[in-house]
Amino acid sequence: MQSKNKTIVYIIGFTLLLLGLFVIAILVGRYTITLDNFLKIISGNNAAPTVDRNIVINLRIPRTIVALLTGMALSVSGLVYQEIFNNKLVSPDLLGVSSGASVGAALAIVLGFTGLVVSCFSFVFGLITMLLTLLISKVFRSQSSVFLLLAGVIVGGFMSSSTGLFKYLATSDRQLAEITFWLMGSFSSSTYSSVLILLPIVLVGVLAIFLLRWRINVLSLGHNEATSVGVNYKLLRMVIIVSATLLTAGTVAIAGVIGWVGLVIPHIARQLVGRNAKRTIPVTIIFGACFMIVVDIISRSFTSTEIPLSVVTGFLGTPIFLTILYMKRGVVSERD
Amino acid sequence: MSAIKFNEVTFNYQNADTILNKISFNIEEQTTTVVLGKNGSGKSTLLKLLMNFEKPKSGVIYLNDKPLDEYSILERSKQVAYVGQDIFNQFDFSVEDYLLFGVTNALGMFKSPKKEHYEKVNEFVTKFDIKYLINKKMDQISGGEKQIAMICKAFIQGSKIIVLDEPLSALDFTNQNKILRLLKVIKNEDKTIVFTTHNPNHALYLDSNVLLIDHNEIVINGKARSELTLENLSKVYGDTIGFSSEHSYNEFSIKNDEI
Repeated sequence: MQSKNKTIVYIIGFTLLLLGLFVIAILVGRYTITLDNFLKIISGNNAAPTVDRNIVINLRIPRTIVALLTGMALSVSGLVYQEIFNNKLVSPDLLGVSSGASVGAALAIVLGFTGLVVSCFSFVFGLITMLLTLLISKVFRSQSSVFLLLAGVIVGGFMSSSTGLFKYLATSDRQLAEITFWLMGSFSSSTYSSVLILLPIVLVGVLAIFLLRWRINVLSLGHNEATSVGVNYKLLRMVIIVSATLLTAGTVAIAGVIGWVGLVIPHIARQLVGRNAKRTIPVTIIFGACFMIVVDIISRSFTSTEIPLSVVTGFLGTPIFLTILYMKRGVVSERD
Repeated sequence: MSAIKFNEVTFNYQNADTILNKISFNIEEQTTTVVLGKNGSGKSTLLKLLMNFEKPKSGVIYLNDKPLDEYSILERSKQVAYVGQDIFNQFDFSVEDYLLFGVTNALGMFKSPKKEHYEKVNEFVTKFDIKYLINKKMDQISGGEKQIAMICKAFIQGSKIIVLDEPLSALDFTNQNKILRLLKVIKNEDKTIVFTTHNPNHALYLDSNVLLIDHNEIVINGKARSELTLENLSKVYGDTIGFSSEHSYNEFSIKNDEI
């Protein structure tokens, strides 16, 4: 019961932090907006300069919303994968979803498409990849989730090679650069259309996971024990996998591949409130959003061209992850 | 009415030899049944069939006189609780959170445990005398403590039948005794207990019923203290077994509190 209060404190704290970061993200960047002008724009006062208004309304607000949604989606899908496979070293890419979504995007770019068409290709390929992984795991006819993970590795490997092939087939340096940049993640092309596509996907996926947050714990018991306490293990696991896949494929489609977030944020959430998805899921959702907004600010504020998101998350994520692993070195065992 | 009934149940794993061949038996309500057999004899398989983790190739299993596969997962969980083997590697839920999994079948799909469920857990924690454990992590307590926590969870689940898969095999001498004594206490409550073990002495100690599986069939089915004779056991385990009273030394055994 004590940890419940702690969780509430963290949730309130992070929510306030999120609001603060949201405003900061709109103010800072290579072009600084003053708080005064920001308030004028928000309150509908026309006294603010048109440039400022344009930047706030058309660039920074949609971009920050995309960052927020992406952070939520990637963190929470990483968390649920870690919970249902009872393995803390897995990330949302576990079942090959982001590799598949990358193939879709690379293909679309090579075919000469731009903008939202690339996103659509990417999303559809992400979903197809998950279905492929599930189909292959069925071939093994085993209850063990090891085979699902192996199928994910197999399909992911195939998809990475396919991306390589499309990079090779890229006809111009511009296409190649676009694919490469896309493989490292970016919010630079975020618009209100991106928000409109991402928002429903994230709402549905996050809501499903949020509602099932306590029950997700039970899946960590594995098939036999979870079934014996009255949980439809296969069905529940499938609902979670589908939700997490939607979230991952959706974000990859809009912002490209962003590493580390889905691995590191859930770890931090567990450090804060202990392992119990009932508590970690809300904390992860809000903290993931905060983290991603910070990453976005860093990626666009310091250099004349933007730093790819995965570079920033990698530089932030690796030391954090190393620290966690070092603190946990005593309890990491062979079976994982 | 029998709690559990196997009717000519045959089973084999895919591409493997028959493990159980047309076995039939009844388990009455509020009895303790020990399933004995050598390694690979099919003891655990029998429990898996009973839990519906595996399905028979032929034959029917009845739970309270209703075929097992006519139960939904939820209904079944209200009838039978399962105490499996140690799965708690990297399982860093607190003991209290783990015990709360026992109330799952009383909760709606989107619900979490409420105050009343915490109270229920607390009641059984007191009964099993493991209050000192509840804030520890499941992967940091001893094998014996885990076993007690698992049995406690099965009680919280409220099912009349409790199935335990080798609850004693991974434990040291002290903990084996502790769990055996616990099983003996449980025996007197209104529960039907079924568990597997390697050691025939466990059945004798508990004064339970016994099912001995050998060569894909049940060769002994009855009261342990009358059926587990030297003659009967020699047929299965060979002529290398005997009574410890024939030793030139005293063999240690669990203390028996009976008169």
